[in-house]
Amino acid sequence: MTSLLETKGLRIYFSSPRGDVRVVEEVDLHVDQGEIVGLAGESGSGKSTLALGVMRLIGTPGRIAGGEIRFNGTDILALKPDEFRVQYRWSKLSMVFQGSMNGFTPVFTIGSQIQEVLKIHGHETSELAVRKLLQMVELDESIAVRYPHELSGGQKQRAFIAMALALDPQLLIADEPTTALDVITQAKIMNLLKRLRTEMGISILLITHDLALLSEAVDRLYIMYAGRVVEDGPSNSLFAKPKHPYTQGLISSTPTLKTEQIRGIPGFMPDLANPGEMCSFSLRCPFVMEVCKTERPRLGKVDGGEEVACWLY
Amino acid sequence: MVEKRLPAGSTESGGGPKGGGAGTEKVISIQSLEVHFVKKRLLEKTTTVKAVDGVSLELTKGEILGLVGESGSGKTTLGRAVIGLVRPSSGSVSIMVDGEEKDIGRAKGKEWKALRRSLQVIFQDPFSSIDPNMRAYDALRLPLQSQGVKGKEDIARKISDVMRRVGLPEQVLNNYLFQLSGGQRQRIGIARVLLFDPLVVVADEPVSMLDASLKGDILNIIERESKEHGVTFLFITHDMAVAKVVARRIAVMYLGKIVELGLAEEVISEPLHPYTKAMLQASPTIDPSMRDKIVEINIVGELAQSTAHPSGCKFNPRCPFRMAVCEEKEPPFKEVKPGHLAACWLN
Repeated sequence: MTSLLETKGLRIYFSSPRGDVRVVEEVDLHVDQGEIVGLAGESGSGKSTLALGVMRLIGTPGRIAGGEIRFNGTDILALKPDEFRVQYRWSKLSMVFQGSMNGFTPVFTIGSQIQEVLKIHGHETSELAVRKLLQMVELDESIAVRYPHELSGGQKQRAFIAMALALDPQLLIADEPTTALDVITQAKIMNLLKRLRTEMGISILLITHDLALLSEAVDRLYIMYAGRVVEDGPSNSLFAKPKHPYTQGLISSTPTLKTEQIRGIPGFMPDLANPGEMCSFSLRCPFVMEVCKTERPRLGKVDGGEEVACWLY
Repeated sequence: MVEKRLPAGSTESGGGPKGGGAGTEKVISIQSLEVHFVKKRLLEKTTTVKAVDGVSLELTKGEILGLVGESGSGKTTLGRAVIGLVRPSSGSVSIMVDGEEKDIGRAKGKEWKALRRSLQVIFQDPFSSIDPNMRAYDALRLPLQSQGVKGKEDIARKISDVMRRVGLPEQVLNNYLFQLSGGQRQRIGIARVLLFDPLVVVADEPVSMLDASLKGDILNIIERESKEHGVTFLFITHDMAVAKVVARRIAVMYLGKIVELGLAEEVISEPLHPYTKAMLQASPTIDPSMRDKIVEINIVGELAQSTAHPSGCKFNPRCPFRMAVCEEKEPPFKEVKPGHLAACWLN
């Protein structure tokens, strides 16, 4: 069975005076039909850039430097920009951006901004369609005639999700969809994403640095560090027994109501312009060995359907 | 005003109660504090935003008090009032300095300048709260000089002391702040605060902009300062889990009022107010078995506009347990169990 979304050996580089900054390096990732897949990692790990790459929204000085992105088997990097824009972006795969609740134009009503999406893509632009979309995200119909500043953060985030659903996409990429929202609103947005999957069969790629939030929503997840996937697997086994020292560190530094004390991960991410041949995490790893400093571990299968890139396994 | 230093390493984390070395000595006393902002516009009705609407609270020496609430609840305004950055509309905030009670809201001139050293703030965003084009050394030197500390040696000694306390190597002092990471900058922000041996520090969401891997370190610095140097922290956060990790007591704020107050463990294990309960239900824990479930949230809507507070209990329009009395009369903030207070007609 082909995956809905699949990246193979994806590289996204940004050119800089010091050479290429390798923000995404050899990432293999897939999202199957009806799955919610998580992508986690700290800021600068490349998770948002990966998502923008999938949407083909990387602008200069960045570029997709290698690898494949397949959507339902089609190599979308081989398509002409216009073909991708008309046939794929927003209609087959759409995205809720980080801070997208501030992405509305303040001078038009929510309804007219959603209608514009429909119009540009040649769909019928009735008020009924807008009302249906608002219903889908559990917003009152009256929101359609309101301006963005009249809405609360949570309402705006829902409205943006409605806009992302306007063309009935198969895949929704949600990049930090709940940051800046309070916990109660956050839980409601997460409930909404879960319902979109169960009721409409939409696949979701959920990107966040909040592992607690992720653990309560995803079937599988990928942990990224310094541009690479360092561990991936089904969420049950990954959270029960994290293998990679970075994953372990991330989990033990996530504050939840059950934690007594949180530990940090000392140190900082390596320079992505000059990553060298070592394991990127070796500078911060509590279990570092000689081999870690000279050779990079490859992602390999371990039990429980997991993959991990670490010399310990 | 200068604290007596304990020998380094005498109090490792794990010793003593959580949330710092809270004593019984009162440091900050907030009495029926109100901070109202009046908005006047041409041809429009004058509106009053009641950001803080009758808060009474006491903080003891070395305590970390977690002030939890969503955006718009008034928690930042309360914090600003505590360090004298906004003046109270009514009520008072006072601080005990050397056994003498001083009114922060009414201090002026020299007295105010002296008080300011003892009242410090850590801001949320380490990227916008410090000038990025300054060297780390200057970011620490300037505040010292502006407060009259002269002499190169005194300055150098003070700076190396605070750098050690926030766990930064001294070579960082030569770096420009734009060269530092978010975690390092936040440490510089804390180092600046520690320069004057403050009595009270308002930490306004100090870790919400930081990566998970860095949060722990910053929280540990705050905990250590409270234990070893007796600094009192008003720790403002929207995240109950963060408050639980660092604070001894938690105060929950809703629309300008404290609706629940108690020891962190008690507020989390036996919440008394429906709003606290809802926040706890909504807080994610690491639990993959939740993924096929919908989190039950029984409260409706969102925070009301702060210009139009509902009558009676301010939470009543969203409350699943609303009774007739809730719409008529505001519930008193009373002790339900020893040391655990709540404002709700259910109790």
